[in-house]
Amino acid sequence: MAQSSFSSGKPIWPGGRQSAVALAFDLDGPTGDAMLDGSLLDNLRYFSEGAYGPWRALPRLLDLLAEYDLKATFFVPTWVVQHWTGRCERIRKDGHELAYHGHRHEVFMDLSSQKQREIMATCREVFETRLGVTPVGFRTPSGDWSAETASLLTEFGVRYSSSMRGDDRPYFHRQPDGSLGLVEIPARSDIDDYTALAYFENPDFPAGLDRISDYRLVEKNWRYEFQGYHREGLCWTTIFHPKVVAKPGRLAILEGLFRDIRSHENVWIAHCAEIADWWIAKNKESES
Amino acid sequence: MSGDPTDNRIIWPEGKKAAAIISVIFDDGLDALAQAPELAHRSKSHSVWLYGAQRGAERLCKTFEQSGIGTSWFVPGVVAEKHRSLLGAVSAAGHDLESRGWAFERHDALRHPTSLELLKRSRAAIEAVSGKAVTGFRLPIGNWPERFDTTLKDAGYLWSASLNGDDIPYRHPSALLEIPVHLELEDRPYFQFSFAPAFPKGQGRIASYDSVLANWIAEFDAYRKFGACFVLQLRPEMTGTPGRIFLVEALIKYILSFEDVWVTTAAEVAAWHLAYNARALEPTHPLNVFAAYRREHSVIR
Repeated sequence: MAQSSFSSGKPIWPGGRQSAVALAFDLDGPTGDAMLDGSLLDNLRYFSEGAYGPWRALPRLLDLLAEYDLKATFFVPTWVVQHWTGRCERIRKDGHELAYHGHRHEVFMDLSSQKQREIMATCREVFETRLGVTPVGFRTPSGDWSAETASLLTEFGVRYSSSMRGDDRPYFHRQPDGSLGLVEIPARSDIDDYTALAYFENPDFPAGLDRISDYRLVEKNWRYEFQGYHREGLCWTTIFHPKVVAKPGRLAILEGLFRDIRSHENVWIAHCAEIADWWIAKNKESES
Repeated sequence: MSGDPTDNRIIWPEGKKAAAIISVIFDDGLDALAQAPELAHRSKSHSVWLYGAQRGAERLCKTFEQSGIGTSWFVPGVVAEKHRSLLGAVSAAGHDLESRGWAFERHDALRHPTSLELLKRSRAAIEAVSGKAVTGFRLPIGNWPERFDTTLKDAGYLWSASLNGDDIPYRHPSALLEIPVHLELEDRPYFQFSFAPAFPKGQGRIASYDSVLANWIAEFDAYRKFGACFVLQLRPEMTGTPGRIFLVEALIKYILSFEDVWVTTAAEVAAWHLAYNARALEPTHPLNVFAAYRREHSVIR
């Protein structure tokens, strides 16, 4: 893993703030493996479970974010943008960032560079024509990316990724020639709502059909995570999905978390793009 | 609050801001047999599911009686015939019996005439037990076949509680009403447990009853806040037990403490929506996007 210039010490945040929070939501809707393998065509139950995210959960989530004056980053497969353009338009209007997450939540690791470029071109076109935005961020959908992905993303104007799990601070990916590439804003499965709350049968998730967690304990875990990142002055981002965490009763988990974040004054609440740009600027400063 | 089509729309009877339905899924072990046919020859393991007819159904009914609420029971036609006296008593106690198909068949694997015939047979068998009209259906197993809403209408049903996609009722193209259901409001994901065959397949620990109650209360509070339709789904063999009935009692008591929530049966909710809420399906409703998705695919193919 490429080491960032600041990795030996605590990151420095704008205005002397103690830590950074980049709340992030993956608005997958019904995209993903079942759409990719075609089984979703015959599975309306599963489709309706995924569609609940953009259709019903998202507006309530946006209301809650507005109530706490929080801005977030939404990684959205562009198939969802095409089918729920109005819903996604509100994400933009509410001042949140929109970023790449494939077109139908493709598994980039399994695709040739050419195919990856085609998907990125589709995504860019949909974002530009439907919403008038050109994203600068990317979160790899479903699993891993391939060795070429990080550098080919830069061809599309992507400046950061939020895909990796192995750090709790931003760092730079390296280009093939050794120069600095994308900023990475790593997230961790500890704050992926799938690990605590997602449950479905046919297709089964989790694989062993383990139980849905106690919402109160999930909130506690996530608050520990935020507080730990804040105490150490790190950069906290989340892997939340509206169809999972913005179901009616679970919005209360988010509300408890948001209230906790808001009770700390010196937190920099930023879009992932702002974090990446800050990281790039600080690096330039330290080099000159 | 742009973007949320339910805003500023009255979708419940006067004085009520949300609805709560207590439903019971009574499969009498057919659900387990469908996944693990060998259970038919394993009397010990099979009895995990047979507890419902033996003990659980009656215990649930006593609790409902104490609370004075009517509930909706979904039963396969063959279960209605097998447990005629038990289900007759359930019906006589003021609960609705609704259909869960005939014998846990997969309607997506049946030809249309067979599907239609079994749906009609199920209604007739259940009506013979309850003496009341059966208007609702819940898909037992398998996928929802294309245009199945029309098949259900043709078989005499008015509503279904099988799909997700929303938390307020919506209309299929045939005008069949859908009362959407959510897995986190079912007891089975939290409580099912069998050693061999393994249910659930990873044999995760049985959930804490306090945790389940807290989750369901959190959901109920939110459904009430958003004016949605809360549908609890219980199984006699899973929650009709001496220890878990506390959870049902506590939840029902909590739900009944709010006068602005319409606590009623699924058939009542369906009848009300069919009569007074003629809202058309919005273009980006999950059902319409699913239709668009299938059209897209047929173009590519």
